[in-house]
Amino acid sequence: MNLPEPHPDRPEMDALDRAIAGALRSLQPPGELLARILAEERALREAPVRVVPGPWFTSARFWLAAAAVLFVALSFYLGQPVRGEFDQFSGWVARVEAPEVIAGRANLSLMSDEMGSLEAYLRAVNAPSVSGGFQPSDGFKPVGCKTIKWRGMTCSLVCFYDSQGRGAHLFIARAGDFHTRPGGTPRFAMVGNLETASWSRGSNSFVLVGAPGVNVREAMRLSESPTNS
Amino acid sequence: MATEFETIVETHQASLFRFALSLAKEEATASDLVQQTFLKWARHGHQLRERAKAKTWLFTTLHREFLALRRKAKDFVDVEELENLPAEPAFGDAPSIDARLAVAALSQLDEVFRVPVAMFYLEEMSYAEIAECLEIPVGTVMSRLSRGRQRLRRILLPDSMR
Repeated sequence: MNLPEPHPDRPEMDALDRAIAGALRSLQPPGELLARILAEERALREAPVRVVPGPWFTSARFWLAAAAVLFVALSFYLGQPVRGEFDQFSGWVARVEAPEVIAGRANLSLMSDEMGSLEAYLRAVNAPSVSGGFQPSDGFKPVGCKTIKWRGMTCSLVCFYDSQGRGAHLFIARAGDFHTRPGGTPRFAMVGNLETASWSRGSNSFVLVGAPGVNVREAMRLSESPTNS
Repeated sequence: MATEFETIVETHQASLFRFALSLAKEEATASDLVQQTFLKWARHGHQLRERAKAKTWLFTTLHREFLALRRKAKDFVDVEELENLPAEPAFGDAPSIDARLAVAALSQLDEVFRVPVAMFYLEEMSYAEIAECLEIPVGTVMSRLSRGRQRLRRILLPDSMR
């Protein structure tokens, strides 16, 4: 071990150094961290490349940004949709975060079946809350919530379960954090064996992910779900 | 067969996590910092010509991520852990230190000392490597390490400093 030179006037310093170093190095990262990183890198590789404009004063980046702006403008002109960050977020939710939750590794911060309590908690920690953007169907009850981070943004997770223990998990992000966002009408998709629904309402965007075999339409009260925002 | 990315992650994730924990003081934030750092590597790591400097690049990036995160959340510091620190840990001639206690003690250091001390203890980084990571002169590293270690010693062995 390449530890500091012993102090001649304090010979015990060397032993203390070794004790501190040994204690600190005995810390191990959480078991799921490696899998999370690899899954996120895989999702990044599979996601479409998005050009991020850099500082204007670095000429190469400036021109890259200018090219990106031209590309976006041209895409709009041609009527082609420009894929924004929300697709990456919903892809990450369905491929990375939801499987962890479904596997029982969510570690919810607040356990409650009172929607009001969950909303109050999320507001208190300055995380996006449901705020009327989602109504579970009668069969599904909330069990708890937590906040999660995605690329530095604070998002929320609220878990619902029915009487048979089947889960539907609602991920909430601030719509303003995305370049593009889904509309008010839920958009349904299958990601692997998980069904998802995505929509926006008010200042938030939502992704509802059903556990395997759960039809997310069953979990949402469609008549009271958002139509167009 | 493992990809280069997988190899990099497997090689450095534990040490980066420990460093992140010494900065952020809570496991969830430390995990996020490590994940964010490796994602940056996934995006930009190929630009690093000297692959031997991957470790320095990762530590520098994680430190910058931490500084950026702290700028966003000014109330980042969690003093709860510090309050749990035993007032007078008892050590003999051959001290035995619990990992959690060591992290708690480390977290009491001012950040200006904590960062180089963590790099020093956790990663066996040389003065030059720490200086490169933190973009400060080697002499400053040595001075901060010396003072940081003294303060850490004072926290862990309060009796011996009287």
